[in-house]
Amino acid sequence: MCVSKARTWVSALWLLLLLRLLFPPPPPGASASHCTLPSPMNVHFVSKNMKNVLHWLPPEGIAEEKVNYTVKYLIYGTNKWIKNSECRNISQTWCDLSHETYDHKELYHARVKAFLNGNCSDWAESARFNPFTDTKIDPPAFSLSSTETSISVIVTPPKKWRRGPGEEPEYLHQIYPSLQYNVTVFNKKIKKRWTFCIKNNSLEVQQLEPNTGYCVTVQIYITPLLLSGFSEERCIDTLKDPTFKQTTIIFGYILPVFLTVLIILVPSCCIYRYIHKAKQTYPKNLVLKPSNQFGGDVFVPSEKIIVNFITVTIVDEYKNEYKNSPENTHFLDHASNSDGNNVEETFSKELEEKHSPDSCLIEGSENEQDGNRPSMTTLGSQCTPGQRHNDEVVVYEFDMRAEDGIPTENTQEEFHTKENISALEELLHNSPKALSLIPEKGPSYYLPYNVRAPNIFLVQNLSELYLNEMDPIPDNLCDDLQPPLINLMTEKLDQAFCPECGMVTDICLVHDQKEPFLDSVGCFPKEPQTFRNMMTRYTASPYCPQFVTWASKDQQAAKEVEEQSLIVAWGPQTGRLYLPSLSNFRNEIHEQIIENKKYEDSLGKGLFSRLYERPYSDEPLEEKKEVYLQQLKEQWGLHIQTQA
Amino acid sequence: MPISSLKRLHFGHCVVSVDMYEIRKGFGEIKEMTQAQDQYTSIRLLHRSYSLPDTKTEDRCCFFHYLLEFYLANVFNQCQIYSNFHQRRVSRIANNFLTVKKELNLCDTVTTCPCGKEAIHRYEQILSRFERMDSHSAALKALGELDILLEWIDKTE
Repeated sequence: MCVSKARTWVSALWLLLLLRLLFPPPPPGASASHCTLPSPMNVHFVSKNMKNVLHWLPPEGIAEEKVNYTVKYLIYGTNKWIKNSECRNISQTWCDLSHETYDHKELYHARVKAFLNGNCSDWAESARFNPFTDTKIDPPAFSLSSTETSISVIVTPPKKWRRGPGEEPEYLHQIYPSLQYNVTVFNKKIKKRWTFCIKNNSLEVQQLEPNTGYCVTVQIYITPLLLSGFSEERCIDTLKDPTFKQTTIIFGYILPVFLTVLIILVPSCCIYRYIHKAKQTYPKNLVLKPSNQFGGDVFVPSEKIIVNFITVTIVDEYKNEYKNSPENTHFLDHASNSDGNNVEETFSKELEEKHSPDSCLIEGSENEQDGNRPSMTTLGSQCTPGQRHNDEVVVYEFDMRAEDGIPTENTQEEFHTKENISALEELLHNSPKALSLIPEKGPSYYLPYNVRAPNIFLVQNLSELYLNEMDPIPDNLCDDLQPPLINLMTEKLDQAFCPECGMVTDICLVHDQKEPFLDSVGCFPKEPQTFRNMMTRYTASPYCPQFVTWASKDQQAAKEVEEQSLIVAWGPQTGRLYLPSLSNFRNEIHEQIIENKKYEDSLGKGLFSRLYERPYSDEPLEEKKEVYLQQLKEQWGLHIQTQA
Repeated sequence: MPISSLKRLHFGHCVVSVDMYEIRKGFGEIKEMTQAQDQYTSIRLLHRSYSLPDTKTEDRCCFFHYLLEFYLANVFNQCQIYSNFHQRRVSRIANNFLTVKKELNLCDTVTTCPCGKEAIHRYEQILSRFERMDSHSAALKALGELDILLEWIDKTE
């Protein structure tokens, strides 16, 4: 039995040996020896957001299309290579191992083998793949919105690759806690770039310029070695500022147009008005004001005219006699404390009390009967006592000798002749309105201008005087007549003063007191004569600024007295001094009266229709006049214009 | 471009900062070469089950301290056989580790880094695996697993 057992064992060994001979077992490196193909090259993972795809290159020198590949992967730290069923005998050169390498906390190895017609290659292994650090992060998607001054950037949080659509997405910031976004904002207008680093996925960039283009790009930053590229730049414009738009419209379009129209229209209107519409108006002082009393328009000067009278008084040796007379004392009492201007003030007060101030009266009164009586009294004589202390009294520092200026006494005598009176009467009759209250039988007084109620008093006084003169008047009337005389003179001066005309008169008329006041018997007749002897002419109208006051003496008085008075007019505003030629007194008064007539006629005609002509007379006077004018020029530095 | 290169690690009252950027940059240049030379893919020294972030808070400091000591004592000093380029990168990383270790030593290690059982156990697991391999391969493997350590540090609060 042992021999038979031994024979079966031997036969089995021989069988095994035979089998081994027939089918020799492969040596240890048998697989490598069979696979002669070159290995695939450059096996590596391409990972995007944890989508891990293995890529490789086909083996060198082999036609690509016929090669198939098999992929295996291994989790680092394990010893089992796992075949990927999807990547078995594939012709493509990549294999998606995202599923297999989904756990990003593991590290992976992968290897690829190439097969061609039963032939194979060695395994080509990849480097160790750590999805956590080796994956590439895709640039994030983001959305933009803008307001006038801000841009809002909302970044879509990047997700990890998902194995299936139904799987709950896993965001990268959950995997990478340090993930943050770098948002870069570029101002296209000023070419400036800002970068904002945000942890959350939304950003609002504020305080931006309206209506400006901004370009935004976003980058994911995890570590300095793990960051995404910049996403594609997207641009947005901030909204237009509505107020800016309005302002632009207003200042850019409406305002320029409006201004242009205005600039064109205003001068056009002005020119049009100037050419077609504007009415040429007279200067204020040429405006005619209607007057009820004269039936027409009269001139009322608007500005104040100041007329200063400069009176030069030459007193001769008779003044002593004058002082002895009682009338003289009366005058002294009246004006003892007055000197020049004081007198004027006193008069002004009286005038203000008694008169309405809107009339300029040119007045003359004469006594026809006693035309040859040597008497002269004027209101201005009140100041004579004060002035008589000097031989020559200079008012307003102006020196003028009247005796030089007065050529002849005959001229003055003529002045008192009937011609003047008739002229006055004529004029008075021509203006019946002026003196309607004056009795017809009495002589008329020339009142060319507006005479109001207080002036009537003057006229009545004059009439009384006149009537008294006509009738025989007892001597005792002499004393009674004195007050009316003064009153009358006041009235006269008031007329001359004419407050509305703004005239300030300073009249100092020198008269010859000697005879009339010494002669007590002839007291009464002297008074009317005084009116007759004195004629004062005031012209205050603007078209005739000259102011002429003249006084004259009676012829007899002139014989005895060398005293002369000359009144000159000087207007500071016009800067013009008017010196009447005394030789023309007679002609002048006559002419002026006529002029007044003419003036009244001319009121109806219009302005500037009246030409003032001044007649010339004696030649010798002209020479003296030249001398005085020369003196005036030297002393005062005046420019003297002589009216020819 | 912000570079958050310094990672601050809070261990109780002790705070240390690790220059992650320098380490990552240095390691990135030698990573592929180092990992490619590691033939033992089935062995993972820094296993995920012993990871630093998963360690208890009170043991983290100690465990981190052990890891630093391990790398400085067993890994970096084994790399002198590599090329000069490789050596320079390893030296840079080693210096950073030294800095962090000094910072940790400045703190009172007794009070701030108490070493619990878990920390010691985890470290022993790593060390036992390491010692099972030959020192060169083990050092190469440990160096190749440096990115795992950096990931741990990154994830540690």
